[in-house]
Amino acid sequence: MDNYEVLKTDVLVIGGGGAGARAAIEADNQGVATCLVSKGPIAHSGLTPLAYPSLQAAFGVSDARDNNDVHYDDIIKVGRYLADQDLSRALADEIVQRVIELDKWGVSFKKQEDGKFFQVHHPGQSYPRNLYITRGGLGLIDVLRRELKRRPSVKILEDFCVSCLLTDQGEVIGAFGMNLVDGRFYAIEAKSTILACGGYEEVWGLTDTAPDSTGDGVFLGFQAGADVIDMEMALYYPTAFVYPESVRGVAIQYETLLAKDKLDFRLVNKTGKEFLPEGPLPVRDVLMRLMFTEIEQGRGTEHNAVYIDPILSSKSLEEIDRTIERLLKIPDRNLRALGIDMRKDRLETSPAVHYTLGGVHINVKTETTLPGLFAAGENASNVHGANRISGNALAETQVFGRRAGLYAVEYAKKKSSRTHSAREVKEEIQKWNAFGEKKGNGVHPISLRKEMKQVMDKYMGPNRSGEGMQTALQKILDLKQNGLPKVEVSTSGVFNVNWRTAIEVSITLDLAELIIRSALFRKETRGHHFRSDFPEAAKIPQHTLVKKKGQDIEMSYKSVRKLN
Amino acid sequence: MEDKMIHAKISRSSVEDKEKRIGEFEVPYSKAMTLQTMLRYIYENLDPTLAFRDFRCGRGICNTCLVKVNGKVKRMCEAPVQPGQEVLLEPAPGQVIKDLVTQFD
Repeated sequence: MDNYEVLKTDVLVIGGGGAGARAAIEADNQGVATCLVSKGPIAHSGLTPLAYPSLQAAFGVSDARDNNDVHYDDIIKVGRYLADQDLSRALADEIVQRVIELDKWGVSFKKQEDGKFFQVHHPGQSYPRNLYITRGGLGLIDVLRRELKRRPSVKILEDFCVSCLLTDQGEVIGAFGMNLVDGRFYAIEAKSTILACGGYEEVWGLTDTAPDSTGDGVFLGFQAGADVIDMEMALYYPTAFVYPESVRGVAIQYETLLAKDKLDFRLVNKTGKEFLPEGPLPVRDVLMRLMFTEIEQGRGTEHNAVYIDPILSSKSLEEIDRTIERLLKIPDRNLRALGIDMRKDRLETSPAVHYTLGGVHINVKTETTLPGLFAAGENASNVHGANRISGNALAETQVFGRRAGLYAVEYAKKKSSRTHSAREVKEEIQKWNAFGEKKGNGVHPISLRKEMKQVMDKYMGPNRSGEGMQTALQKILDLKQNGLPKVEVSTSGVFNVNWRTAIEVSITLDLAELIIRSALFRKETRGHHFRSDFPEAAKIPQHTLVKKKGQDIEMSYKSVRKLN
Repeated sequence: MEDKMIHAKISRSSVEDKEKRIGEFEVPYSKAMTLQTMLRYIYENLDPTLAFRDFRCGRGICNTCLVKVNGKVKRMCEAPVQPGQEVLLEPAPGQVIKDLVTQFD
């Protein structure tokens, strides 16, 4: 298939999650032609619908001492001083206003009896600061979707997979991809383009995020030549189910399961032996590393997990029932529908990749280092640093989504209409079509994906060594050079899932290489990146920077932006 | 011998090719299998051209995986299957794009 359609817009938003939807709303508010493309249907795809209910904003209801300055300080401290401070400052300063707006649009926040926001404390916060959204991320994105649909002037293309940005002498002038609904290629010419496609969790094997979180926007930015930073920084959630397959990747609140004053279930290894130290439950990163160590040293289950054991609990069955009813009602209902009873069955669990901190480097106007290209949400970096406090991911989508819309419009207004290069599109179409060439024993893209994920889980968890990462790099390069060319899929028809999967596998393999190279380059231990060969933090925190130079990857450091 | 297989019939059609066919698959049962994991097995091992939406919220509320199961609309992520079971999957009401994928409005 060599034909393609051409569309024109002022602002193109790539991504239909919290950041993309918010960006498109803002661009439309400013009265320019806005087009939003999303790899899946809005509110039925991507990271936002699966997000936990927490959104952090310093309303100071629970504790009057809380304010924007304390929120900002918490981000910087928890992020181990790797956050760009102007970005963290913008997040802390603007989220309160964004929440007031969301509240008005109809997002259902839990409120106190006096009508003020209900706030709870999560680790890393000086004062209780997390608001609670009914139905979690889905409760947020449903409302943003409704706001978008109220604006018929926004053109929305769902099930649209972008595979490259269009450029003209270093400036980004739109994007190219496939609309799965009609099975056609499209070149979309735009005066400015916003990347808001979320993180790259799917490079790893076990994640508690959406299966389509393949980091497309980070790849798109990198390919076009934008600065991409801190790719090695991935954030984990300690307890996600590993087995059976039907619940794989579903996270369950470890605080409730393991805390001595709640269910007091125990973590045990494959021989049934407890491995946490005596005393209170360790904090998240310590807990997670103890679990990984148990698995890495061969004491995990056959599915590379440890068990949550309910039988060793000190609580009576009645107490357990009451706590589950009060705090884990929904997961309990879902598990029981599948014949699993957490009161008596051991659950296989492991830390799962939950959020990726690296991405396309932005300034406070969400500008990337390429003219015409903006980025927001998890796609962008680095608002949080080397670790992130619960409740700041959804907050980030709103603050920076709005900013991206605003500044992309400002840029677009100064530009005349763009024209794409037919050669650039032709080369990209060849890349898609190459997967359709008959290769004899064609390989399913899924088998390559499995191999990549095994490598990433084995060598690129939070416990890392230079030697292990070199091995990982060789294996990933081998998959890119010798595996990927063997992938074969059908290249015709509407809703060709397998063709899209082939493109996603190609994207994630490139990102895997960037992750490993960045991790090797960061010769220190910081946040969720622990190196056995460099166990101390460097004196001055710096971003790792990957940049495309011709066909090569250039590695360097970039200074963290500081506030006075 | 105990039947360890699931006998799945799946409606196959697309907007280009309106003629509806039924695809038949024999899927080996695995622990706590749902219709969604069964479809994933088919896509990964038996027929890479099968189209369905493999997205779930893990809480049974996003409704992305609604399909008609033996005539009744259900969420696939919450629908366990049993060894030996026969199951007919058809798209949920709405405009069908391909196989079990429908357009959300």
